[in-house]
Formats: sequence, structure tokens, C-alpha cells
Amino acid sequence: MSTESIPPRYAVVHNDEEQYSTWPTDLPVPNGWYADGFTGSRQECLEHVGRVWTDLRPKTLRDLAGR
Amino acid sequence: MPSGKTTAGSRLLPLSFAQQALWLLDRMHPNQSQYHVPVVVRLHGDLDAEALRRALTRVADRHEVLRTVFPSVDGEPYQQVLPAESVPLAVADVRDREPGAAEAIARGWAEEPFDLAADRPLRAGLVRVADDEHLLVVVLHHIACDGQSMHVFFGELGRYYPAGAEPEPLTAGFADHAVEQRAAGVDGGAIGWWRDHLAGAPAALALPTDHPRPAVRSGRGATHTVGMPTALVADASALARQLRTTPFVVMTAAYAALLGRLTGGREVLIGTPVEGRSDERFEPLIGFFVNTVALRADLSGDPGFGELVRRVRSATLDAVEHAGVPFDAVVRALRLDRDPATVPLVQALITFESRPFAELRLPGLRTEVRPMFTGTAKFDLDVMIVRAPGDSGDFDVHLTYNTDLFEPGTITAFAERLLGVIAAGVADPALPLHRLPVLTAAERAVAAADDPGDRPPVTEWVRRHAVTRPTDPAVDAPGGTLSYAELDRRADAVADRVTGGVVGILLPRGPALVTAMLGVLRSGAAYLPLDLTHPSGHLRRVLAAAGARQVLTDEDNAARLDGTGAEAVLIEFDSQRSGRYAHPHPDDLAYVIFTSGSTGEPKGVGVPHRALANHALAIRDVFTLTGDDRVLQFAGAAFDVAAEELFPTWAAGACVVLCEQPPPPERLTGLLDARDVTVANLPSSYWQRWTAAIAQGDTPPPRTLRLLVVGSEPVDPSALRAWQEFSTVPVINAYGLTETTITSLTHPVTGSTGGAGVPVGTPISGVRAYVLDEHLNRVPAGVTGELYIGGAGLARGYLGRADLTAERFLPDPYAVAPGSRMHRTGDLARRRHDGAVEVLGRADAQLKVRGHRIEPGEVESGICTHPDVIQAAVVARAGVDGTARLAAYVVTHSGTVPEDLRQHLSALIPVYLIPDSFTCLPLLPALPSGKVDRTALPDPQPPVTRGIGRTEAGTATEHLLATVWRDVLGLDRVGTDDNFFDLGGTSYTLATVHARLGEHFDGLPLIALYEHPTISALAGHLTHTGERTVAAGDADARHIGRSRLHRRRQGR
Repeated sequence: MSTESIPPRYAVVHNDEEQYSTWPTDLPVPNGWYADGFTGSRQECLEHVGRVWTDLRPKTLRDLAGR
Repeated sequence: MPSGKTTAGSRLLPLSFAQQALWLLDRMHPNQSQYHVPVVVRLHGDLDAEALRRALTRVADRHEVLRTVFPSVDGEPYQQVLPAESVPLAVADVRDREPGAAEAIARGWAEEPFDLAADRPLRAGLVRVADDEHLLVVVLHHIACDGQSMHVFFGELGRYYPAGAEPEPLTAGFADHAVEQRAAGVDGGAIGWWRDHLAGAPAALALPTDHPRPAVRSGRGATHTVGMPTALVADASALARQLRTTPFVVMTAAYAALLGRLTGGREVLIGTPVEGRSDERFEPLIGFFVNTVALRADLSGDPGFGELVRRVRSATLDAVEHAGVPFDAVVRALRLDRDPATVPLVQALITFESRPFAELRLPGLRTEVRPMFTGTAKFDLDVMIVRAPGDSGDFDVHLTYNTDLFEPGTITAFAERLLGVIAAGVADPALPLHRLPVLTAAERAVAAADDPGDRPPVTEWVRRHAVTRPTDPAVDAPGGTLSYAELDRRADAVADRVTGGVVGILLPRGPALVTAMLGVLRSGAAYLPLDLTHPSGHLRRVLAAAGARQVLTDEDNAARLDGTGAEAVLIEFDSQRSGRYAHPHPDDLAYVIFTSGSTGEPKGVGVPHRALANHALAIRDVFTLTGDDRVLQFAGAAFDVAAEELFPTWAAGACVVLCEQPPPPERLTGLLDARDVTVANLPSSYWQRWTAAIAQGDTPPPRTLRLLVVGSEPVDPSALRAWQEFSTVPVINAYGLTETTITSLTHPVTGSTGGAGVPVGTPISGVRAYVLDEHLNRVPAGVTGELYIGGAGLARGYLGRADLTAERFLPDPYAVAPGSRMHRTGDLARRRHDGAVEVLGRADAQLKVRGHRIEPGEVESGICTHPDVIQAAVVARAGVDGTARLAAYVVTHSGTVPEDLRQHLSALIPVYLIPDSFTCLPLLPALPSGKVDRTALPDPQPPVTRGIGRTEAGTATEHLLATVWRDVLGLDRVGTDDNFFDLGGTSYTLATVHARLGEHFDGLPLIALYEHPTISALAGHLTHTGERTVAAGDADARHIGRSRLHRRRQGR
């Protein structure tokens, strides 16, 4: 009788400091965050983040160091 | 006179199943008005009181059930129909009394107890309010009526007043129903259907409560009434028609959705009364025909509201089809009848009446019939939606609630939430349940953003004080004192020796260690504190993970770095001052601290200067630190609490007091007093042992301390009470995580906590805390969710672990600043109505035992109230049959498990929270942080009661009890530690035991048998309370009951 829920889907999102996270696709993305196009299960999204987010320093700090 | 009855006569007529259940409840909760059905009718116009009395008498003449009493023989009740007689009508005149007098009199009549064995179940009274205004109060006992009965009763009353013709004669009496029901028996197949249907259903509604559930339900309650506008009912009815169902189903779906959101459950059980007049002979009868059925509402998969309405419709149809099985038989089949704390099976009820409660038409009079509510509650929460009297078309929503559990404000909010959910669900049936709005208007109002602005980095403070107060002490160590000027100079010297990045610190406690921490920050690098006790393999992994190439150490420890790949830099303070002074960016890291993750793999948390700068100032202010304070440095440097002891202290210009090693608790007072410590920050388990040592007189209370901060673990309320008995030093409960920079929330403990958990309070300045559900919605006050922390305290993340960082640091949808993050703490929490947050344990540590969700902390607090207990830990362990059992571990003064611990607990917490086993340990295993290491607890000692009939009766009382048990249960042998219910006993057989024991123990309440379900426990109780008295008459017992009731009323 009980309907199994469809596993929730997540999007990979980042902010202006290029900090990454995941966000449920059925909720509006919070202010100042942008979807980068990758969606999947939470685990898939986290693995994707692991590949693309190679420097945890906020962008401001990276830009200062690179100057 | 009525005719055609088949039941009058002298033989012993049985009770219907539902009546018998009610009779048993009446025995369990004697002299309460829970099962009274009082109705008040306001009458405007010229009333003929004598004609009204005659009309009442004619109704009672017609309906035998209103003249029936329920005496018992050997504990077995039967119905006895008394001859018709004139119904007395009590009269009161309040024309010259103060306003409210009429209502007070009505309430007094409504609450006057019925003795079911002797009193007819109908009473009436008339209050004269004005020359042309009266209140008619009719009080029936539920054993003789139900909702439909109200329509019959008042319909006939109107017909007979002032004088009317007799309606069609009745062809049956209520007792016919009981006799026929008994003869037919309970349909075994239908019971089986219920057993299957309810298998695995949540029989305990985990509704958040304001007060812990007492071990025995008191039955006390209150009713809150709100109006439901016609338009909302009309919209709900329109949706009902569209989905081919009834408004009741729509309202029930909304109720279920709300309960689901408040409990976090994927399904809920809701009770509702179902009409039981199965035969047309019974239709014109007054009587207790309804049966309560449990509706199993399936909320899983987060359906839309309309889909939930469909599910509730089919659950309702199923339940109604099987409504022939008495509720009580279902409860017994599910073996749920043994816990006096909780109403079995359903704790939430709903009734929907599209008609008014009842109508009374009296010629020449304007009337208004309303149900009355006594200060009682049969369920935890009972929602009655009924059409209001009059022509407005509005509805009244009466919420009757258990005041053992709920405060009025919680129920007022519940009513607001319920109306909001109905409105939203009806407006958009596609809306998934998790999107239904459940916050009150007040909760929706977002608090203004708390922007602390720019705060100087922590390195700045010592520099400033070195100029303004150079000779003041900054560090006081056993070997001497460092002034602010000297600390400043030495920190610079350290800064000169390191080259940036992340720098490890491997030093013993002492001035060099704290100077090194400040010095590394001065250099612009982040420090990584290392633990001297860690093996070098661990050091190597940690250094590599943090990317640290240098480690500040001393000659004694430098060798430990061999093979780690890091350069050992010996700490010294005599280098020339270079004046190099870094100005860190707020996003630069200040320190890296490794915490052990759930997988055991250490995670390096990088904390930026922004977070530490905010923390230092906010904590300085919360602790009200001044230059006069002397703050103990207790925590090991590898824990971030050490930074909380240093930087806020230096921000205040105060002095950090170092000790060589944290002393054993019984020597702490000596250390604090000798060093003039004013502020100490202790892990709560350590503080608890210190408190016990003071309470035992092993050490005196501290003299110089002015503020105590406890944290890292839940604070035990009874230890707090013990502390408050000998000390007026205020206590702050602190909560935080390495990921959110040490302490994020604080709660100044004031006054008594009343046995409830100690909250962690509110966020410090610059920090935000949210309690969210799994869909990241903020949850209403009182509802358990997961704690999230945002704002200035956030760490950068887990070094080298982008995936883990992304998992635990989420976009903060409630922040004002765009692009903000929040940390998912993994702790369960709820917000109290006053805004303080309570942490309830780890989201993954909540125990589930026999279907109950259990917070170990709640049980631990209960255990710690026993005077012999110093500390307790409760975990779930698999029992012999593989199912989870609660295992308690205690540290006691006596060194053994107190004999009366179980009995002590049974008076305090519900049966399901009482651990199956108790194991005494000399000390609870601790993690390096001082927290209890739950995984290192040994296997529990086997529970004392294993196997049936193992222990023989010893005392005379035990022998007597054993004899009665054997007779009633039909067993050859019972042991004194066997649970009555495990031996096959039921609530009915327990009532029989109670009746038999009444010959020997006068005044023994039935409830005591539930509280003490073993022979040894009951014998102990009887001896303990001295209940054993010589036999006395029933009349005396009733007299005692009534005078108790009288006192209770006067006490109000």
C-alpha cells in the first residue's frame, strides 16, 4: 500500500566564492547560489564536487594569492 | 410506558464490550470526570422548570440505559436496570451573583463523580441566570451515551416539553445490544484483519510535548476552542465532493499531514468514533453504541494533499468495514494494554460533525446547545470539529489536550497550524505534504540578520594590551607569569621561526605551548595542534593531510617527528625581534583541528580568522570577561576548546591560568582556589564527577570561581540541581562543533530546570541556528529536527575533502547575505517556545526500541535522579532474541546497582523508557575529549528477570499475591519476578486480580498493579507504602475518593 518514494535528485551548486555544495532539485536554489548543470543522486553529486572543487580556498583568497 | 423490552428482569445482564472497557478505565482512574458527557443549554425566554423536569423523567422512563447501574460480583460487572423514577433537577439561582457564577456551578455539576455501581448515569440541573435566562446542564456518563444519543435525547426532550405525545414505542433496549454482542462474540477473522492491518504501525504518537510524559497518565486536560469559517468548510466540502468523499476525510487528511510533519513519521494512527447502531431496532436508542477505530494514514512518499485524501478515504472505508471489532479487543490483540502512561494504540482523535452537537426545540424559548468540557482529556489530543449552534454556518474546533504533556500556547499554535494546513491543502491538492505550511505567523517572521561587522583578528588583542597594559599578567603558569608585553615579544620570536602555511605544534602543556599558538598566528600561518600521546603513524597522516611542513616542538619531543617528513623547529624565544607582523585575511586559516569522523578516519577542519575573531569577541561578551578575570586553561591543545580558553581571555585583557595536568575531580577545587581562578570551562562529564565529589563532602565548593561553563556533552539536570544546592556560581551550557568554531550556542542556566533537559540556548553574536526537517524547512517550536548552524562561525571545510565539505556545508536558504553556507551538525534538536534550542542527541544515535523512538539522554536524566547514581549511559543492545533492548550503565556511590533503581524509575518515566538491564561500572569509558565512549561499553549484565517462574515467593505478601495470580491466570507456578503481562495477563485479568486483592489491601488503586507488574515489585510497593490495612467497606473507600476530589477542587 505504501508507495516507495522516488529517490530525491540533487543539483551541484556553487556560490561566488566558488564553494560547492548540493541542493535538492525540487527546491528553489537559494540566493547567491548557481546550479552548474550537474544533477544526480546526492552521492553522484558529491563525487562530482570531489572532482571539480580542487582548491577549498574561497575565490577571493585564491585571487589575492595569484596576484 | 415503554414496552416491547426483552431485557428487563432480574438476571445479570452483561456489559457490551465497549462498556466493559470504559468500566475498567473508570476503575483505573476513579473519581475523574474524563468519561462524563456534560452538555449545557442556554435557554432564553419563559421556562416552565417543572415541565422540563417531567420531560427529563419521561426520557429516562423511555430509555432503560439512563436507569442502569453497573455493580460487580467477583470483579465482574453487570448491568442492573432500575425502576423508573422521577429525575431530580438540581436548581440554583445566580441572579444576584457575580458574572461567571453560573458557569462555575455548571462545571461543579459536570465534574461531580458518578459511582457506576450505584448512581444512575443521568443528572440534570438548572441555573437561573436572569428572569428570562437559564442554563440547563445535562450530565450523562459515556457508558450510557454517544454522539447520536445527544440528538435522540434532546429531540425527545423537546417533544415532551411542556407535554407531548409518546413517540413510537421502542422495540429493544440497550442491554439487548450487549447481550447480542456477547452471544455473537468477537469475530476472530476480523481481529486477525486488524492485527495484520496494524502490524508495524506506530502505536505511539511521537508528538513533541512540553513536558515529559509522566509514568501514569493523570487524565487532566483542557480544551481550546477556535472558530472555523464557513468558507473554509465549504472549500473542504467542495474538494471532498470532487474526490468523491466526505469533509471528514479531508479534515482527517489535514490532521494526519500535520501530525506527520510534527512527528516526522511516515504514517500516523488516528482514532475516530464510528456509529455502531447495527440494527434498526437500535436506531432510536440512547446508548454507548460507537466504537473507536484506528485509521492508519500512510504519508510515505510525500504525496500531494489530494492523494493523501484518497489514502485516508480508503483507510476509513477499510476501518469502517471492520468496525464491528471492539477497540479494546484490537488493543488486547496487539498486546498494547500494559502501559498506564499512554492511551493504547491511538493518542490522537478526530471527530467531525456536520450537524450541530445537538438541537433542542422548546416552544417559546430560544435555545443554544453546546458541549461542555471538564478539565480532563481522554487522549493526548482530541480534535472535535462541529457545526456551531445558530445559523452562521461556522464550525467550532474544540481541541482537548492532555495537560500532563502540553502547554496552552502549544495547542493554540496547533490550532493555527491545523487551519493553515486545511486551507493550503484544499487550495492546492497537488501540494506535496512537505510543502504544507505548518509554521505560525510568529514563527514565519524571520529574525533580522545579525551582522557582527568586521572584527579584529585574534592576533591583534595581545598586541593592543601589550601597549596599554604591558605589565598585566597574560599567562599564569606554575613556574611563573608572562605579562602581556612578554607574551607579545615571545610570540613575535616564534613567528620569526616559521614560514607560513600550516605549522604543527607538538609541545607539552605550559607557557611555550600557548605562546606557540599565538606566535604561529602572528606569522600568518595556521596552527595544527598535535597530541603528544598520538602514535607517530597518526602524526604522519595528520601532518600530510594538513600539508604541514614544519612542527614547533622541544628537544624532548623532536624525535617523535622522525619519519613524518616534517621539519622539527625547536621553540625558542630569544631571537631578535624582526617586527614581522602578518595581517591575515579573514578567509585565511587560523588553525586546523582534526576530529574523528564516524568512519574513524580523521578529518582536518580548517577554521578561518573570520570565525575565530567573531568567536573571541562574542564569547568574551557572553562570559562577561574583564581584565580582572583569571580563566583556567583546562582543555588539551588538540581540542578547539583550548582556543576558547585563550583568545576570548586575551581579548578581555584577562589572565589565562595554566595547569600541568587536569587534576582528578576531587582535587579541582584545591587548584581553582590556590590559583584564584574565576572562570572554568569543563567537559560536563568531568564537571558531573566534580559535583558528586563536592556533594559527598570529598572536597569543598570553589571559593574564587564566578562563572562555570560546561559543555562538550549534554548537561545532566540532576547534577545541575546538585550544583545549585551548594553553589550560587552561575552555569553556562555551551554547545558547538569544531566545524562551527568551538561554541556556537550558549544558555545561561537560571533557576530550576524542573527535571527537563538543559537547553543549549541561543546562538552567540554573528551565528545563526536553525532546526530543519529533512526537506530543509524550518520546523515549528517543539518539533524535533536537525540542527544547522550558519553565520560567521563556519569553518572553511574539511581539508582535502571537497566531497565531505559539500555534504556537510550547504547553501543557507535563510541567510540574508547571498551565497551563505550553513553546517549540518548531525544533532537532533528542537526549539522551545522561548526560543532556546534543546539538543537531543545525534541524529544517528536516536534509539528505536520496540517501536518507540528513544532519546538516551532522557533515560539517563531519569537514572541520574536516583541519589546513589553519579553518572549513567544508556544504549540499545541486541537482547537474547536479537531485538534491541535498552541497556543502562551506571556509576554509583555504592559501587552496585541500587536495588530500588527500577522502582525509582517506574515512578518517573514511562514503562517503555525503563532499561531492560542495568550494569554498574567503576567508571564510564571516555574518549580523549572526555565524552563517554559508547562503543566501548561492555556487554550488559543479563537482566535479572529471564525465564518464567524462576524466583519463589518469600514473604507472606508475595505468597498471597502468587496465589491470586495463579488462580486468575490458571497457572501452576508463577515467579516473583515474572511480568504479569508476559504470563498472558490482560487488563481484564488484572482487574480481576485487583478485585481479589481488594479483600486484603483496601484502597489499593488499580493503577498500582500496572506500575508494579511483578509480584516482587508489587509486594515491595505494598510494604513500602503501608497500604496493607484491615478490610474496610467499599463505602469508606468511596468516601476517601470523594474527599480527595474535594481537596483537588479546593486546591484550584
